[in-house]
Amino acid sequence: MMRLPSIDPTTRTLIVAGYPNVGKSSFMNKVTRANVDVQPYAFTTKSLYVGHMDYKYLRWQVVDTPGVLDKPLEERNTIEMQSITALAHLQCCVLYVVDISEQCGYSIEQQVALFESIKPLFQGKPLVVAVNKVDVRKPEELRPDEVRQLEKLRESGAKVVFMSTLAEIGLTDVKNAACDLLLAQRVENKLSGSKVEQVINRVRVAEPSPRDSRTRGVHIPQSVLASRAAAPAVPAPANSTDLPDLPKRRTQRDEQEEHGGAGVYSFPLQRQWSLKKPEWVDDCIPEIMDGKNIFDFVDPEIEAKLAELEAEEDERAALAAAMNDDEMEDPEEAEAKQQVGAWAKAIRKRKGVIKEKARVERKNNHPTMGRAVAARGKTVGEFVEHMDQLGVKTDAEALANLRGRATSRAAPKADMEVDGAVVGTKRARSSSVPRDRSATRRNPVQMEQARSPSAHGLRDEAQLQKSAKLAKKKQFKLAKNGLASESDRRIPCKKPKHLLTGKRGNGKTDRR
Amino acid sequence: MAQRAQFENSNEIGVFAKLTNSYCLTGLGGSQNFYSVFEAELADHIPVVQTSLAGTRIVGRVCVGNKNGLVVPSGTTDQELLHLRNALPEGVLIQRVEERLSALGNCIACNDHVALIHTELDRETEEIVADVLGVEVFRQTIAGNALVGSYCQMSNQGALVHPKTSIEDQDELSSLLQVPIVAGTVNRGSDVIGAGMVVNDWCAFCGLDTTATELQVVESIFKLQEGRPSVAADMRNALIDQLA
Repeated sequence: MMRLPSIDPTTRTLIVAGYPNVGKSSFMNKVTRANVDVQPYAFTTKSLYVGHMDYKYLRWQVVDTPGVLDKPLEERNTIEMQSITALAHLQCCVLYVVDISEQCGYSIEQQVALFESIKPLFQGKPLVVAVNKVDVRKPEELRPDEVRQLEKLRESGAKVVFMSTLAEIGLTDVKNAACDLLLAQRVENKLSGSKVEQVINRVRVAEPSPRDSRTRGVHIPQSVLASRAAAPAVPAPANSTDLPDLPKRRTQRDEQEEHGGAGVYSFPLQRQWSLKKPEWVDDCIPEIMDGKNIFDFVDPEIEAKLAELEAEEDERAALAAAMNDDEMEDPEEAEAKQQVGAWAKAIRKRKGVIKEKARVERKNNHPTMGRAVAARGKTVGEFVEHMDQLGVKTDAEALANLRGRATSRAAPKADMEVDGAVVGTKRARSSSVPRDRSATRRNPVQMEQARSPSAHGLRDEAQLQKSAKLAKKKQFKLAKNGLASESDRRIPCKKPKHLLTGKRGNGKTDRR
Repeated sequence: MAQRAQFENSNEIGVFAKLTNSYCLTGLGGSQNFYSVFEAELADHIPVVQTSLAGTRIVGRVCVGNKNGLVVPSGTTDQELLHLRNALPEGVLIQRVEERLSALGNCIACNDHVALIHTELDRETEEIVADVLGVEVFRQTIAGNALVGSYCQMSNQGALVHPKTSIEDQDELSSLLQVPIVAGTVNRGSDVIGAGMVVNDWCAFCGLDTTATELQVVESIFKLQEGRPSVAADMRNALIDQLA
């Protein structure tokens, strides 16, 4: 696995397969930039090779495989097995290369037989048969039985394309045929999936429906159209000497490189100005003159315009006032409005005072007094007065006993019955209930009972004392250490004697 | 022609440049490299102007303009206005607006005929935009984003919008703008189209990370090349295979 090239199993993949020496690696070298070793003997390619090419704005992965011989699976060697494994496991387009000239040492019949025997591996994959070396032997020169063999391939669903890797004939056809088949299959698969819903809006152009009769034209300057017409339709290759290079425009960047490079070069931005007279560019214009910003007076008629604007403003204000007067016919309503306004003003003022007070309080770094504490010295009268001030009506009667003694619950009567047993007097043991179910928890008699040896499951007083002693002993260590525990870092001895006594020679600091 | 460019290692060239049919603005950078990309391509036809706006380099995001005019934010200084007035062609109106949403480039997207604006823009700004740029103005969102200027880019020949724009929204926008619309990305999957590229009627500039497929979509929708492939027909399979 380590020696395998990085093959992306999910991307668009073409696998080149076939007998040894039919021209698989030559094809790979021609269509991609991979540089696979090509030699005129079998099994030159001993492992998988990956190359990449571009087609239809997409990146395609081409996998070159070692040659495969026609024999049972068990007899295949590890080199052939790599091809078989790649074919079996990669979702791809298979490019089965057939040597038409039979220079590889296998007849067309043998090559078709191999195709038939590894056909199960091509199940569900787009299939292209590339008939190679047509420069050596033309397709027309094929014998009828060979034509029949190729026909057989065609019948099994493969697309047959002729090519010559040496003469570079038909390479693009093979590549396009293979890529188109695979792309069509992949797109079909994706369209049946759910993910395509998310991208369907990106492969569709929304064409406008006309909403009025206006034409909204394009604005391209004449100079652009002229230069477009002058430019050659297909740009000439860089090394061609037929056309003289167009004079390249001298840009600021060239200027920059000549005058010290980025960060050093600078030029006055005025150079980009296009004024009626070029010499105006260097005119000095002050920003402030006689204490006035001259840009406020750029327009010679600015004052007249301002006056006009102000007049318009006054007119509008007058109009608005007049309209207001019209609306304010009812004096009562006006008075009510005024009243509300006054209240609002008072509320705002009071709010401001409170806010300011709170701000001062908060700002000082003094100890704050809790509300309960602050209220301690206050009388009911003061409280009522305060509430009145806030505008809350207080019921003085209800407050009369506010500071009086809290009414406590009446003590239970001695003979009150609880769960059928009389509480408060000596009672039968059998009527005792566990504390959590007890109705009278703080009953001293019950507290006493809870402490008796039987409540702990012990036999007598002696045993109780003993258990208490044991418990105390158990807790002794815990109590002594306080909060420390055994998981704490502990240094039992800060100055171990064996490390600190004796003469110190070289290297004796650690061990002595 | 669509080109790739970069501003000081940033792919968001729509932030640092503003391209229209009658002028091009670029931000002031540490070097002339970015400016020269535009200069080499455009300076024969339209003025290419280096400037700051409101003291920042992000000229593409703070201003909005087309062939008729340029609207700049309130922070623009008098000196910058002077520079722009002197450098831009005579027929181009320049107007400063008092607008709370001062990144006008993010809030407004326009071509020479129609503008889409942020839904919360002032009424006054809306009127100024309509008058200065000579456009019909529509309050719109793109794929639920109010920042229409960030998430779309348009010319008089086409528009590219946020990749999550639904088909219904695309149809609506296209009938408003009266240009073909496609949803797409720039800069290797970035959805901020407005920040990632600039375009006018005859050329486009995308960030350096833009892939070949994205560039083809741009050239196709903005009609920048003769005999270009069409998104709907020729590129459909490639796009589905790559995206899904």
